[in-house]
Amino acid sequence: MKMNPLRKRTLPVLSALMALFMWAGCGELSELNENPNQPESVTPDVMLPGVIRDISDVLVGHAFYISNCASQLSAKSLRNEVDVYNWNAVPIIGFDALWPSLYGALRDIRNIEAAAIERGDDRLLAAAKTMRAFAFSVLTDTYGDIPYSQALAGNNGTYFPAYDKQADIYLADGGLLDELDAAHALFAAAGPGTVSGDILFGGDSDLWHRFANALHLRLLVHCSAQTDVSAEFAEVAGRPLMEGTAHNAALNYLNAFPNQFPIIPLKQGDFESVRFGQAAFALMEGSNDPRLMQYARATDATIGSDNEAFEGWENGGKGCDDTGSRLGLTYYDYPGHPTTADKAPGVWMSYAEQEFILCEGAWRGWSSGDAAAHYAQAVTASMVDHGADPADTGLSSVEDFLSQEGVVWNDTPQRLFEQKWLALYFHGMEPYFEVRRWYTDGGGWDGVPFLTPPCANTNDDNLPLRFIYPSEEQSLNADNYAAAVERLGGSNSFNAAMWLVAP
Amino acid sequence: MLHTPPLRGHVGKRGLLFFMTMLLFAAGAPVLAQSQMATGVVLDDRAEPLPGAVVLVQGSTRGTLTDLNGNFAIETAAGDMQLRFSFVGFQDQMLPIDGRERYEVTLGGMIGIDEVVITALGVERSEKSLGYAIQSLDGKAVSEVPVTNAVSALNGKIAGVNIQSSSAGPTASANVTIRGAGSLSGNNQALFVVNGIPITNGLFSSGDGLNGSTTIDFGNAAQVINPDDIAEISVLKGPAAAALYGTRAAAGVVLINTKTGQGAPGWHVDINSSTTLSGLLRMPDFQNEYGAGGYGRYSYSNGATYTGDFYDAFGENWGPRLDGSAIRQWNTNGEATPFTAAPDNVRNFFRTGVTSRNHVAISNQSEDGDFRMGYTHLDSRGIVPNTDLTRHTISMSSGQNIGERLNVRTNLNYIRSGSGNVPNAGYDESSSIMYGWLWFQRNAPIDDLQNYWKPGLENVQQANTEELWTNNPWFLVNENTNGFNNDRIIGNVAATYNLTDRVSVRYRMGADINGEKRRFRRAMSTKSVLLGSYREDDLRFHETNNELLLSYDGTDYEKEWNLSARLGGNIMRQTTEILRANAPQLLIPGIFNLGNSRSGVITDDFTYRKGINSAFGVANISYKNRFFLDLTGRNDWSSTLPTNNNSYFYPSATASAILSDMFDLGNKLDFAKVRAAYAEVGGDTDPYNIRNVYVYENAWGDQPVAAESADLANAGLLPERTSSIEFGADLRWWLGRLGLDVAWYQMNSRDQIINLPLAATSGYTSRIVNSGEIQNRGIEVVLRGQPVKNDVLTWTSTLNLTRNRSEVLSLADGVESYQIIPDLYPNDGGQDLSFEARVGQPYGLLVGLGFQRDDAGNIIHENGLPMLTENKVNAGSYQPDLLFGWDNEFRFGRFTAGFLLNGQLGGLIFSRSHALYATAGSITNNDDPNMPLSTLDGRETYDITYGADGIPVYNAVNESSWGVVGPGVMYNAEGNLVENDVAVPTRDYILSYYGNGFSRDNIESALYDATFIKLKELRLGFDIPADWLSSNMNASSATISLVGRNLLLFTDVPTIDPETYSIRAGRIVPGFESTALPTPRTIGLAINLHF
Repeated sequence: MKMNPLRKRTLPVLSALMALFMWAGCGELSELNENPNQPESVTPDVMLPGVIRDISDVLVGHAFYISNCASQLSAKSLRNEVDVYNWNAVPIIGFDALWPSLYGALRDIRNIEAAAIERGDDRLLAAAKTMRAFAFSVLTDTYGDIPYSQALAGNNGTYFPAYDKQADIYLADGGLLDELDAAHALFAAAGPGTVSGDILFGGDSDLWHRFANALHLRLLVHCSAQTDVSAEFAEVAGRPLMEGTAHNAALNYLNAFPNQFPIIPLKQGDFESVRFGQAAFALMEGSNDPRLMQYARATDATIGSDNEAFEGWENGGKGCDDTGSRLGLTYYDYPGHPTTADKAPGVWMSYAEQEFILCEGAWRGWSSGDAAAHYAQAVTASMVDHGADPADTGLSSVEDFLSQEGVVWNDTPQRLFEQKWLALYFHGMEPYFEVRRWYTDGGGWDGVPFLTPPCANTNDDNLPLRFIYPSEEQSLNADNYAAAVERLGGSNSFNAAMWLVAP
Repeated sequence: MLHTPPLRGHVGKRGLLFFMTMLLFAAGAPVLAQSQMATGVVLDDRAEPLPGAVVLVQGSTRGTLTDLNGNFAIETAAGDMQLRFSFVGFQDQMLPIDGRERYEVTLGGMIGIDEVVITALGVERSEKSLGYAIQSLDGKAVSEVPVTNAVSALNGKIAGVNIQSSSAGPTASANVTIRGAGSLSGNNQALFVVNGIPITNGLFSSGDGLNGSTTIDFGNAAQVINPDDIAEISVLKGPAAAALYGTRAAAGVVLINTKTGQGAPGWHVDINSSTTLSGLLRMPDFQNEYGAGGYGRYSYSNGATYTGDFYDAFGENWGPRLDGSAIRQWNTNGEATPFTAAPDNVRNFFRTGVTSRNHVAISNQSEDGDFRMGYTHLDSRGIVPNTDLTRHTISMSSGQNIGERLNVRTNLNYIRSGSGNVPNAGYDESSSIMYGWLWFQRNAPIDDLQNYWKPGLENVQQANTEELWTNNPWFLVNENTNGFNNDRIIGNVAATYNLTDRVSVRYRMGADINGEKRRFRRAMSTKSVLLGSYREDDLRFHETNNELLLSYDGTDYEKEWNLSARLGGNIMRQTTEILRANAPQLLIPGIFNLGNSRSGVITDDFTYRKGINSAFGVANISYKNRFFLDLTGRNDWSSTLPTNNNSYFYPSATASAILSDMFDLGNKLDFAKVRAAYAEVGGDTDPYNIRNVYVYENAWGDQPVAAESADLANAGLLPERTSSIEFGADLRWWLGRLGLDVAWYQMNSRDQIINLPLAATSGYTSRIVNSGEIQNRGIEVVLRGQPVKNDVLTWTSTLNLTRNRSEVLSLADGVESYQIIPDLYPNDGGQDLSFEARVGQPYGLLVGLGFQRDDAGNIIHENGLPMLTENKVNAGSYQPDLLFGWDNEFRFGRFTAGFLLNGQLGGLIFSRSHALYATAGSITNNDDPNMPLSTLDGRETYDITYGADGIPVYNAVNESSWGVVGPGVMYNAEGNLVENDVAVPTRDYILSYYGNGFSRDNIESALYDATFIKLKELRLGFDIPADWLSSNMNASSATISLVGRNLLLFTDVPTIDPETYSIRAGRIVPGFESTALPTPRTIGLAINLHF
């Protein structure tokens, strides 16, 4: 074979060519992986509205599908697992589940806290602590023991947080009550000012301060069966509290997608599968309660007429009384005739609820104060919240309503519970939490005499005491889940009593 | 169709002529001093001249090729002993040089022994020398079959390849999995390489789920390659074959070469035209005995009542008997009219789909180069009314020799496609008609819904059989459309310079540029989008590859040892841009424009960039043309990995030996080859997985909102790795009349980068980690032969068998199961159905709640209803035990006839459609092999009378005869299992059995053995005689063919075609079916003319 003269030059030339080519492609690789779409940090005022919206959406969704029905304020006409106490198969349709949504919101609350500390913004820090206590309180009251002290540390490699005992979550150092004390101290020291980005109270840190203390009272009531709360209650009752419905912790949704009242995008069929409850209807009709016209919608035949007719749907399965009004016009836009009325807010906690709490504190002797006055304030505030017009039921005023037999304050917890129960309509999970407390405190249904076990329920007439842990915990946090279930008595049962309602 | 009797067609021979000329040119042609000419002719076994045969003087490097008439002339020198004649696919012949005047030699053909196949880097190599499995089809196999997606025409024709076609209308995607699923992240698609340039075949989904955007099949990319332009498709199975395409080739490579002008000199024109008609392969077994309503009741009130006396919006078919009783109905203006069935209402909604494809191409081959240009117009209207697809393809190929050493070749494809409406096959009421059929009233005549607006409320309020749940199907297809326009350019330029006879350098630049606009319209009064919406997605994709390749070809016929080598580098850059704009509520009815938004436009904007730099080398070593060894190595640097871990090297080695050249294997076994291969492939990840970010959320009024991403990034990611070993044999008997190719392989994918779910309590829902190992093992068998071959009839038959088993060997530390898709059908509540990987189990498990059963497997009942397990159970894997395809062609004279059967044995499919049709009481359920009860058993029946005001009065009749007793057992009062004897209403039983109420988290109820056999293709062809053609129309060849597809289906799976899958979050999920569109059954006529 003859040597080709070109060959001598070939290799060096080609090697140089290859080297040049490879060089051309290097250098910019790491630049390519710089994310042009998303920032690696943002300021807290950008996170805050999202967190507040997320929590509000969870509260509205769970009030609508779960809590109102579990407390018999409303009843499901389809998919009635909640009503019949088949709580192993509770459907949560169209809304994110409580557990992942609140833990997701808590991730950003953690980031807000960190940013507040870094910036030395004590008002923001206190507001973040308040939100954190609120979200965790809804979680633990729903499920019992939950990851708390080790939670939210996935960014530090804690992928499998242990479940804290509920008593510790409430009472231990760094627990919910402790955190609310800390929030109060921070607010008090900083004085009124601005919480930037806040959409719950329009940035007014003073209203956050009042909400933190009202929430503190709520949590004291929740755990009052297990621990003596009287001293702490009296002390907190003396702190700045909400002073009217304008101080409600409630998100006023905007009237436009995607910030509208979260139920509005539902199909009409799904909205109408929740009906006004028979128990609430009976109580309200019997007391000429003008909130009925707001809570429920008159039947098609009578709506808009002088004699609007309402009905209640009996909670329970097939074969039970199944006619009842749809929910009120502030909760949905009907096709063909969207209402002009403002839509309902996403209620975290209302002034009315705070007044009921103060009423209970006074009645139980935890704090000084006039139970009757707080009761009247509470009912009046609830009327205001719902735009109820006493004239709708032939009354001249709210005082008129309050003076009726069956409504007038009679120094009994039953009166308090009846009216508080009605006022808690669409207050997130709170109506169920309170009905559960009265049920366990009162030794069963006797504790809530205005309610009876749902017709054709599948739980031997027992009110379920908790919601079962999400199924994915079994596979994603198996060991800690198993330990928590062990503490429940070995089964992830909805009848197991958590600490708050333990006998 | 396979490369059967090789190269009989003149195109193949002439293509080889060109190739061989180049080869000999490379070998050089030294001038001899003392010489004389030997001349002669080479014929094939039909005594026809064989052009392009190689004639060599044995023991020298002197050789030549026969010309078009098979003639050759070669110089011989004193001392030369023998002439060697060879041609690919034929046995070599030797003749002594004896000074005779004319040498005449006849080469005996063998079938398919030494085909030339396209391998990695576009190198044509003899299949004989390959140490790994490769299977090729010529373009005819896909162009002859009138499909809109060329890839789906491969179904059943290649062993080891699983092609699942969605039935989602003209744009339907085809999912190509080669040798099983190796990736946990769900992307198991083979890489498509068109003329040497990779193109992505992923579903281009901008998946946010809104408006069904993740369940509408806009098609995947490979389908835009026009079947008429395809010259050849080669499937490189497994990493060994694909090691040189890098990362993306881990799941195998489908190489497509488009046609060029190379071939017969001069100008040629090809005209192909085809028209196909499509109907429905299969419909559910609808029942026609009971109509709309619930618990035996129905009477129309206002379309919004689903309890009490009316049940007019119950949304199911559990109503009264369709016996003509007078009942007030939705279309009777308050009058009571006979309640009767509309048996074919669903079927009659569909129409005959028509697809026409017209193709013209001109081509030219001259001494300086070749040229081809083609244009194809495809026009398709789908079986769903108002769905269509239009596609224009312009393809151009040109090769030019510039001077003696430089060759430049360009390929360019421009494809413009678009559709006014692509059907949505998702569980999405806003545009999926299949969703509506689940509950469509058995008594509703479909034509009565054609006027789908309420009078006076045009564009504002639709008219339907009920008001609460579903949309009018005509309203959906005409108003709620999902349209798109796509422009795609795939092109490359390659310049090859021959530095010396043996050394060449090639620079190639390729680009794949894709722009697509999607438009989603939702009219006012759409359920759950009451105010309507309009959305536009603007999607852009751009990939370039710059490649430099240095080749050394040391082929020397004189030597025992031969070496070729290649060294190259590639720079790949990819940019994806997604811009979504959504007007979530419309202001003016009927105007679909972003400006017509009631509440501001919501936009999302993403740009993803990625780059991979690569250097690679190949060495091909052979000994005596009997032993072959290939070595490759490649190093990639990927932008997506952490800088300190972004470089990864992977080698491969393959070897083969031709046993039949070494041993006497008896006179029947003519050819035997064994092969072995080992290969690794490294892999990277998606862009931006290294650092945690915040994501923008919908603004609150004018306040911007962002939240930390719930997905934890990972700065310590390592490259993924797939290694494979493969052993195979290729055996031919009786001159190739019978051939067997067997391959066994094992493929292990390690360090996969996945999004591992986290407990939400950690604050995050997933983290990106290196995790897990999946092992795929399988056997592929290709048995081919000509059982009959005589002057009258030739029957060619190919059987492809594939068995693959994917097993999950490990996941991340402390993780035993991984939910590939955590929730197949969101928003149902319950515990969800999931698609999972579990350690020690086959890949792709179908997981959900199961029935509680006694030891004998009977379902345990409580209160007459079946009981479900508390925790989710693993119901098994979708993976079939065996996939098969049996392709046959009969040729008698000018007629050809062929059929293709394909199917699978074993594997599971969950049919959610069946479960929901049954719970809605819409089908008989007589065809469910798992469940003996019919929806027609024990139904409530009432004697209905009407009051003066039209209010129905239900007089219960014989209540004791209602209800059904579920087959199975129950606990008696003593706690012992006894036969279930509790009767419950039929609806309650069926609802509980198939759906666990509305939780729909029972995996066992509608789970079926997916075994099926399909008559996939039936072909009849006629070659018009050449003399008639030349005298009458100056054409040189013409064929007319009649082709049917999806003609017959045999399966025990009820309701659906088991050859289907779900699309979830932009990924194809096998083993789950939900609201799939019916598979079209098509018949088409095609005419191909060649001038």
